[in-house]
Amino acid sequence: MSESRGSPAPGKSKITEGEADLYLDQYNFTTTAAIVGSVDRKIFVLLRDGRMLFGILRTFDQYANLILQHCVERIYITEENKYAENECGVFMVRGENVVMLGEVDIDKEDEPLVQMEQIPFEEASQMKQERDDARYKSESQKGRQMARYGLIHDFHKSDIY
Amino acid sequence: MSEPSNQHQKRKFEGPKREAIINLGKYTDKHVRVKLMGGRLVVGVLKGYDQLMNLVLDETVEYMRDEEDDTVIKKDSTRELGLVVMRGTMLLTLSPADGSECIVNPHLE
Amino acid sequence: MLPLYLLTNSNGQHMLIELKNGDTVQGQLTNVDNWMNLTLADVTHTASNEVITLPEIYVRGNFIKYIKLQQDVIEKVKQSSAQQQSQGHHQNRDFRRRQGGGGNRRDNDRRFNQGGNQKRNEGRGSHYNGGNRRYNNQRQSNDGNHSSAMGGFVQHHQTSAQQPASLGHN
Repeated sequence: MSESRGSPAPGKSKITEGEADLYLDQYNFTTTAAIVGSVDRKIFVLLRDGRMLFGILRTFDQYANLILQHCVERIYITEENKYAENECGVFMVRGENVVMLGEVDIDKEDEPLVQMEQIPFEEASQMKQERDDARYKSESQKGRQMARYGLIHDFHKSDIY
Repeated sequence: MSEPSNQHQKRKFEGPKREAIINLGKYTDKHVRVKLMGGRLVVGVLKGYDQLMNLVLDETVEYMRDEEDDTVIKKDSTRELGLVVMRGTMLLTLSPADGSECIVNPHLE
Repeated sequence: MLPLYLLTNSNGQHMLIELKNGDTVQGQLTNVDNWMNLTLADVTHTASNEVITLPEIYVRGNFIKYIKLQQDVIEKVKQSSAQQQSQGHHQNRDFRRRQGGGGNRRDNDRRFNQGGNQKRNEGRGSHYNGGNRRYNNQRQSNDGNHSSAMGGFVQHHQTSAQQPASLGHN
């Protein structure tokens, strides 16, 4: 969930060497410390059920519960070079459902999108659902086969990211 | 998640509550529908409860689920459990079973 | 303002909750507690194969995936909190003075390393000056009262652009 601000690439550094040292010395490696810099910025959030949300982070807490404003859910269908969007308004996301989040560079975010075809959201959502169902079926079948040998293969329907 | 250090704010800006937010007394001797962690759905008459939301349910009925996908409840298939003590930690949702109206899902037809 | 405070103060508002198992619950919020357990009224509960209307429902906090709130919830809650705060203004001030230099990172200070914060803030401040993409349409010229914005962190970062004189001055 933390943005990695390791050694910045030359010419592209967001922080100076001095500041990077500060990070290492006093950085608390806490959720808050990692997220606070993204407040009032556009971020993307990947949820455990595979959803991608884009929105402006307004506030958060130590559990990474987030409040996103002007939130948009985007489904990418990379095999067919398509995508779909759905406006969702204000979202409160419970922290435990977040896989990762990060800032979006609003200048660059449209670049890949112009090369993709935008399709209606219902259609994309249907495709995603079908893919997820197929995946769930194959994984639960695998789980049942493993169970016959006394092995556990746990796959939860709510964790398809 | 309480914020004792934000007490100066509490005077002006109400913080989250600490007592139980649902009064289960009003559901005693009524049918309640309880969803449990792990996907079970159970309906019973609420006989007792405590502040941890442990429940005592009588005439309890469990609704069975699809073999393939255990998130889908089969509405017609049930099994009787009788008098049951339910752990509050496993409770996910609780609602009155009376006063609930089933809207037929138009997509299923 | 933390997410839980926002929720607690949006009592009576209509919202849609998606649960971890994919079910959705739509209704009016009646009560919230510390653990995000909710009670809602006038509820429509949609499961995978059925839709049920209920007069009331209790939802356990840790079963929630996300909550879709009304578009204007942030403004509404800030308005009501601003009203309340104009009354309790003095108390707020004194409290922050007692905190000392790192005072404006209220929530952060209390939970995390007190000493480290000050330095870290300065470092961040200078780098956020350029390329600043703050979407803050909620800027309020205030009387130094930080809590009228969405929380200590946010306000701090707004003022960081005018830096560092504002640090620790409120």
